[in-house]
Amino acid sequence: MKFLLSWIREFVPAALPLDELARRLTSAGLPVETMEPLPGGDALLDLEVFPNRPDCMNVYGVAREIAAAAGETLRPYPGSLREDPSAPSAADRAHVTIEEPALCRRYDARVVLGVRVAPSPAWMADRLAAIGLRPLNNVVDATNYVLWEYGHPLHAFDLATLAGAEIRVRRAARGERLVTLDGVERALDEDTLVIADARRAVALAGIMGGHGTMVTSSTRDLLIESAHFDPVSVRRTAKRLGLSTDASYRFERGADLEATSVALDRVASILRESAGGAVARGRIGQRGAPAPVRRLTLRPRRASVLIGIPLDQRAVTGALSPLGFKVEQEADDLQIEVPSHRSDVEREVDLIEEVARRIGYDAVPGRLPAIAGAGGIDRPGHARLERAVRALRAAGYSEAVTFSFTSAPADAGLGAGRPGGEEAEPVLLSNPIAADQECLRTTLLAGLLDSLARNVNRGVRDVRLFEAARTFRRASRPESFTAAAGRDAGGAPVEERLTLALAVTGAARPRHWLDAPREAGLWDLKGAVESALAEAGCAVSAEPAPGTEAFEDGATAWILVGGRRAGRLGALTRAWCQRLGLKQEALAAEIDLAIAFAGPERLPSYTPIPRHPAVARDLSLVVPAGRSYAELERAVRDAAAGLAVRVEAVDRYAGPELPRGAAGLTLRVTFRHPERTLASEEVNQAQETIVEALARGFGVSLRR
Amino acid sequence: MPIDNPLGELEKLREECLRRLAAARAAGGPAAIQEVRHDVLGRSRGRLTAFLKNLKEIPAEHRPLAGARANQIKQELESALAAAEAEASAAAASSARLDVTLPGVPAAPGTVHPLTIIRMEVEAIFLEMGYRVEDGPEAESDYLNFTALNIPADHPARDMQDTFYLQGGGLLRTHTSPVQIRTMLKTSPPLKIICPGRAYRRDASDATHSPIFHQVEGLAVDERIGLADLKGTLLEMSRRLFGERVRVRLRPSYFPFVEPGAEFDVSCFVCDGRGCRTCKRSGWIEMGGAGMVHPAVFEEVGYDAERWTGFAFGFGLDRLAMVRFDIDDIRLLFENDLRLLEQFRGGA
Repeated sequence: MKFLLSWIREFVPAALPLDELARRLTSAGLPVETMEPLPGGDALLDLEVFPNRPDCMNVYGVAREIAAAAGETLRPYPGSLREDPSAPSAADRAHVTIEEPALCRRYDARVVLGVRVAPSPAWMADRLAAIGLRPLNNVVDATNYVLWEYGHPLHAFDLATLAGAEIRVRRAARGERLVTLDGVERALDEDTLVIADARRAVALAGIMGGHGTMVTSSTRDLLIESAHFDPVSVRRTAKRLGLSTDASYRFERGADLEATSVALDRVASILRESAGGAVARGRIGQRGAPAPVRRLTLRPRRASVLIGIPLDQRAVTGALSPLGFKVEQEADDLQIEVPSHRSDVEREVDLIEEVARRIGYDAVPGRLPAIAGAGGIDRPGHARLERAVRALRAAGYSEAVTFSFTSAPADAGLGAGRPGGEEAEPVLLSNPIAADQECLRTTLLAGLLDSLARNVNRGVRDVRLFEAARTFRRASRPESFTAAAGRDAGGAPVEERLTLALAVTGAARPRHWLDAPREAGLWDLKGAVESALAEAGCAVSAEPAPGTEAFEDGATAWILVGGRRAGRLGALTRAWCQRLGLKQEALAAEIDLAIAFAGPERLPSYTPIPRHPAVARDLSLVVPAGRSYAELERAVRDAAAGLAVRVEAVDRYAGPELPRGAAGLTLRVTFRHPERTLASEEVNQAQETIVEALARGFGVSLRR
Repeated sequence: MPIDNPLGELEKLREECLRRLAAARAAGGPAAIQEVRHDVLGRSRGRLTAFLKNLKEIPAEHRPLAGARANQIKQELESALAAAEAEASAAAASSARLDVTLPGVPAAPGTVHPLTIIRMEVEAIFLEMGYRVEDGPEAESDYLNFTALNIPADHPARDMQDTFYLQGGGLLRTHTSPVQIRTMLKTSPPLKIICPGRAYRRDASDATHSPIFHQVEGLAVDERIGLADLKGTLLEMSRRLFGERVRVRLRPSYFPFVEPGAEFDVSCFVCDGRGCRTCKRSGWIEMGGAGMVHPAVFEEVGYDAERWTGFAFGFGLDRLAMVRFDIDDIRLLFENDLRLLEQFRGGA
């Protein structure tokens, strides 16, 4: 909000050097965003005025704060008018009725006769222009001038256009229409408070005047409105119509009820001088009950606790008095009368903030609170996830952070056929920023693969990324609990799941002169997933998963944790890679950690190091088509009756001399007896049993 | 085998031997030297060995002289062979020397995102001060995001944050402050918690704004907690983040759920407050909002607002990461360009 220093100086000397003035304003709670020196010692200040301080949204209010902060005296506001006893009576010229006293507590008006509408005098036009307003004419500018000077919104009607010379403050009828000053025709309803004449609505109360009753070059007589409107009513109407004005901004934040007559008299005296009008005798209008005087108790000891420095009655009184608070002692406490312009001060703590502000936050020392308690991390799955991340980093995966929004088609394509057969219903935004960000992600993969593709497209062709973050889906049962105040404190009907995703493309490992380069494939990705989950204490296995639009059929696996499907990994289809603009192969994996971490965690424990030697034997096998490694390994262990302590696939081979679809597989089986050294006949015996079992059960033969 | 001229044979053997050794040395091959040794001094078939073995067949008059000379030559050849062998093995060692300046096989671990590095740093600071690290949902109800935080419906303070609303109800939290309410609803005071997390505001994206950003929320509640405790806590955190020399400044501000309310700044750790690019010449880095918990918030969660007081604060992790790592555009944090990410090797 912009303020001219010369305008402020009409009310307070503001003699401090500019940067000191800015420092004091900032530490008083009116942050100076910019400060632009102008010719003649003037300056344009841009202040941030918080929404709880409507009293500072005008020159006089800022002057009041400066007076307090600089220890200077605030001049009284020139808000009284000497009336001409010979002037006609306003009551004879117009009439005001409030039909909605709950929404309009006060309507003051004056009649000004015989104005000559013309450009404003330079001093007024220049000031308005300096703070960014467009001067219109000497009448409209005068109402704006007083709004910016004193903070109270005003409106000037062309009296001749008001049917019946009458003002009625009423709700609009459904279907009633009004063309506002900006030329837009607006449809009104019963929730809209309007100013009407005898026939029709002529203004949106507290927001904007009507086109049909506005001041024009032919206007002679004026009715000036200075009223008080209900903040919520003004806010709702302004929101509904998408119309925010200087007036509605102030009424929404709480205007000063006692300011209506002051602002009205000030504008009338300006009009008399700058537009040549004759001010009719008397204010007309209607008033509800006066605002009750707000009296609050302030306990200095309470202020001492909240601020953290000892404060007595004198210190508190000295802090509050310059801001217009009337302070009286009452035993150990203080009785405070709140000035009408401070609509934000409603309870003791509001006064304590005033005290803190006036003392200055800089005067508050720092100390550490002595609250007992041990630190700890309560995030679900935290420790297990940290370990998984460590393993992923060791496997060369770097952490990515992507947006929670995504496009619904990409999300659906990558999420389709997710593990467990459960479909996740996506949660859509009501007001997305962009059409391709309309959906809360049900999978991390859309964002992660975009990041992968962006790297490749920028020339970084070897990419390994992971992300651990939340995915979202419509909750089957919204969370619900009750707040202490008895209100329903339920959360949003959305379920959030901690999810882990990996994406990889390009070389399996950084190029090195010792090794032949190799592209990353399913085994690299699977190994990373297995290590990460094992590190997190999960018992991992895999089984074939069907292909989808995104995942290649025949190169996709379910990831099982404790036998339960918790995720999926696989190669992306060529079509999906094309969609990402990728010419090279890419693979991805995603694990629902809510499932993976649901089961018991496998914790490390010690088994004595075996004292008896082990014997390793390699079995070169020809495995017919359709047999999985997992079933062979199980058969080997079963056949060896506990003697096979380890089974490894040490070589895999496919060649033309093998039967169609068959693969050569070398298993290294390590035999050991827990209590004695195995004789070589025993090992031979076990090996034979294994070979027989594989031949019988799976048609596996030894390779010659 | 009759030997006519044993001494002449001996001298011939010696000369031949030395000649072959010289040739082998010139060729530099340890194998050739080995061959000479084998031929001359080999235990079974060495010619000099055989000569010495057969000494008794030499006529008695020549025997003492031949024996002495043979042993003399043996010693001479032994030392010549040893020298040649040492030379050869030294040469071999020198040719097997590795070029240790070649790069090793990298373990090439992945990196942690700068936002995570900063988050973990902040968590470590507060864990050490005995804070619990809490968590809460990103999709929230209007009640927990606004109303319970003293921002009722139709309150102008709602304009301070543009909100994403969800079809089917709820919204994306505009700050991490709902976790204050969630924590207080399930915990009795005294307490001290932080909650790092993601928040959302419907801002247009530019170098300093992102519709998705990250905050750390802090809350401490006890009897007789005051603004001084807030200031001391923020100072402690800032010193650990930026170094012992930094100062903390509180400025009056307005957030409906705290009163007195403040914004907090840290003196610039780059220029020590003199003004530089990092602090936009102001000497101060704006960190976030803070204040004393508003009694209306305590009343909402059923705490006795007369007995308990507390402070709360919140600041942006993205901004902190940008300032600390000199990243000039917030959008870089969400692009995941490996050329950025890999600069954070060893960061955590």
